[in-house]
Amino acid sequence: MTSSLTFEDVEYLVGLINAQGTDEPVILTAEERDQVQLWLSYALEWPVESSPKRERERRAARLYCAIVTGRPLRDGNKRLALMVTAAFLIAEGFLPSWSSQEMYEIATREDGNPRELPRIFSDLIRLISRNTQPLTDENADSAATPIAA
Amino acid sequence: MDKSSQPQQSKPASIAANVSPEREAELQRLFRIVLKQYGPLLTGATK
Repeated sequence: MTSSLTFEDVEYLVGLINAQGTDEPVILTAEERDQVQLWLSYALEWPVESSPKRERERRAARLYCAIVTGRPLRDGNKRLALMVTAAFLIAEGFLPSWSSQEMYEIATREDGNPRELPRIFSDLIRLISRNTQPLTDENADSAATPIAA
Repeated sequence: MDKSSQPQQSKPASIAANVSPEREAELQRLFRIVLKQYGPLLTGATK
């Protein structure tokens, strides 16, 4: 699968988050950049396990989980995970509408116990599947306001 | 050069643009949609 979101894309998106005037900008140090790049590569480029069914949702779940539990940044992991996962799905032509809090609670359940990971992934995939719909021109047009400078 | 004749920049200077102008436009489009769905959560406005 060709990655629809590159590390350079993620860096640019982080810049856009920070340009919104947040009090707590998302900062990527050199070491953190390497970590984010690794997780992104794992989530989007490594083959998905066993079944190609719902590959898009599997990759989105893997991407979100990798950032939230891998914690590559000192601060801003939850926002980064939400941003890149949503951007990945939109780039694939789907509009996400899941609850960010529910997503986070599932991903961090059981404090990352490896034995729980299959169930965590399965629940994340289900949440994503139930809360995404094909992106329409109407969705895209209604968001067509300038990015704040 | 007359500044009024220059194209308006929507990109803050702090954003490193290691992406092509075409990709930049696409990423801005993605970001607008994400912002519409999850805006306050991204900017930390709900904290």
